[in-house]
Amino acid sequence: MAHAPEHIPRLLALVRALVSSKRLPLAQLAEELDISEAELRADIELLSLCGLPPYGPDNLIDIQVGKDGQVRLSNRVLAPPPLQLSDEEAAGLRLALKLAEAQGWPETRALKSAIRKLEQVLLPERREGARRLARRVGVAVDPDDAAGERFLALIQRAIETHASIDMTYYSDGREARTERRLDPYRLVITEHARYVIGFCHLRQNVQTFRLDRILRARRTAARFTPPAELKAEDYLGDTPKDGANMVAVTVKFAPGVGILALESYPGAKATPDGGALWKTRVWPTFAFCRQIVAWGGAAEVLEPAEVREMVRKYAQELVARY
Amino acid sequence: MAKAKSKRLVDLLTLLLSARYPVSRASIRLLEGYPRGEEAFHRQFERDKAALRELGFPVIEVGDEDRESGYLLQRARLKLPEVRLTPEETVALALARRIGGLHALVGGNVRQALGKLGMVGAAPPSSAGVALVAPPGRSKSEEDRLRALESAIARGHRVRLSYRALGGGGVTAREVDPYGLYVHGGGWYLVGHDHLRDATRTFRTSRIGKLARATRGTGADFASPKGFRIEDYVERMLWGGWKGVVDDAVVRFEPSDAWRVSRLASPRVTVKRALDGGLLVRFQRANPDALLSWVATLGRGVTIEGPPALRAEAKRFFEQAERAHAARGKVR
Repeated sequence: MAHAPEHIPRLLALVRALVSSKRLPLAQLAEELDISEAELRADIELLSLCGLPPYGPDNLIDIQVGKDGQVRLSNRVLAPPPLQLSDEEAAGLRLALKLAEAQGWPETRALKSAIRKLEQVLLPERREGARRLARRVGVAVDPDDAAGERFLALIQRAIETHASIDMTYYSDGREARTERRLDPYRLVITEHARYVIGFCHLRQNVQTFRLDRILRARRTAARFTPPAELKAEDYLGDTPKDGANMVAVTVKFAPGVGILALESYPGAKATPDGGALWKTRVWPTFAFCRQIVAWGGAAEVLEPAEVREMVRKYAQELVARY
Repeated sequence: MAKAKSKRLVDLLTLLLSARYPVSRASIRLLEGYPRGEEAFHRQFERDKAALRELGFPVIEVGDEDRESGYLLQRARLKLPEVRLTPEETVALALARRIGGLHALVGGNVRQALGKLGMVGAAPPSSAGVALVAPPGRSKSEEDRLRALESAIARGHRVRLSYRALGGGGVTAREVDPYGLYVHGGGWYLVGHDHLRDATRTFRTSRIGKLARATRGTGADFASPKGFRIEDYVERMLWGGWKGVVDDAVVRFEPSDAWRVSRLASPRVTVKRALDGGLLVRFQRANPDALLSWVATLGRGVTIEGPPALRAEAKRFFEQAERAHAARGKVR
């Protein structure tokens, strides 16, 4: 059970949402409130017990989940107005704007004007406090990511209109450019990067592409039929659907970088010497070699021998350039 | 326990929000969940009032000598005047919630903000086009730590923390004046004045163990550097660094990797085209360690051209990687 500092705002958010919309799907509410449907049901049950003395039907919050999966609010025992934001909440919006800007989302402009409107109606001291805090919380962007995603809007649009795209893609694994036609199905965003999942006409299968590796893209007149169901999770992580060619590897990290390795790879395990051991499945490509070589000898592929040798050769090539 | 507390606070808010006149203590005592005894009720109500104020509800007491005191929510400080948003702006705020949701701290704050504005369920359900993949196993303790740090930054409170530095230095106790926070990739970093080193330092928040306020009292404990902007520190960290700085580092991009240069949107770099179509990128000032580890992730098409010392270091770095993977049984 959540504690009051998060629970009360969440309960009020739920009631407020229903005051304006009357009814909303359980699944959508759970997603937007970032809780499980079971937690949401527990919240709804709790709220249905809340109200005023003498706690008769007319004094209790009338909220329930219908058989149709819709959550309804049928009275106004509790009807909170829009509330002033805390410094942290208002600064949070600005930070989300910084993230959207850094990633190159086309909605950045609308977000900026929405935040400006909201800040105008904050109490002057709240507005000042939020701005002060927003100057202290920021986003660091790596030098090679500074431009954001150029083709985000184009791909979003292509997904919506089921339009195939022709693109020049830099394959990190092969370290080579390719020209491909892609039927884009879904956009996937993670903490680290943006991807598009789609059917690749060149390889004739569904694959994941990093947006920052798309060097050129153009919408075509060709249309495709998207699959009825596609789970983005199936194509990410270390056991993706298109991962038939992946191999199991074991990587050892030196004691000096143990903590760093654990932070970089959630699947890694600490070893008694202060180092770490990471067992995972990877595509044995140049991308993996780079990843290991970038530890400068503090990471060592123990097995399999072929991958170990591949990493050695890659490092040797780099040495030869100096 | 927590459930009973939540219910009591919701009931109390329901009463205060619906009241047009000050609410008497007697009517508050009728709410479910309050103890019967006067003394116990008093203590419980004091705690609840404090909890509501902490949550941003301006509970005030009104009354005088002749009348029993009552309680009110100060409307002007409570309500947000109406804001007219365009459909595009509503969609953009929903996007902010989704992007922010991937990052500890941001997600919670944005969600709460939209909840207060009544903007949950306001935008059309996310278009089927975008999926979010949250990092696996984000810990609750990290979220709590970040909230505590953010609150200390907002209030100017000095904190005491235990820190597990890299490189096996063990855990040290520090007192830090927190200036700011930034997120880089999946990690959060605290920038502040470290009293142990008597200098500005960066701390990765996931390496912080215990965390508590170091002082008491309501006021701020320190003044941040004038005109502090976290972006300046981030830039210094990524491009300049705290320790050594190298001037005029040159990185060569082979023609195959020239496309990467279009993404280096910074005023700090100048680009020259080589005869073979490759590009020479000159960094005015750079942190040698950061530059080297960045170049190392880029692979065979990107090399450090100079200065010679950095070039030699790069060579050593890759030699170590090669040696670590030498066939077993041979010299290691």
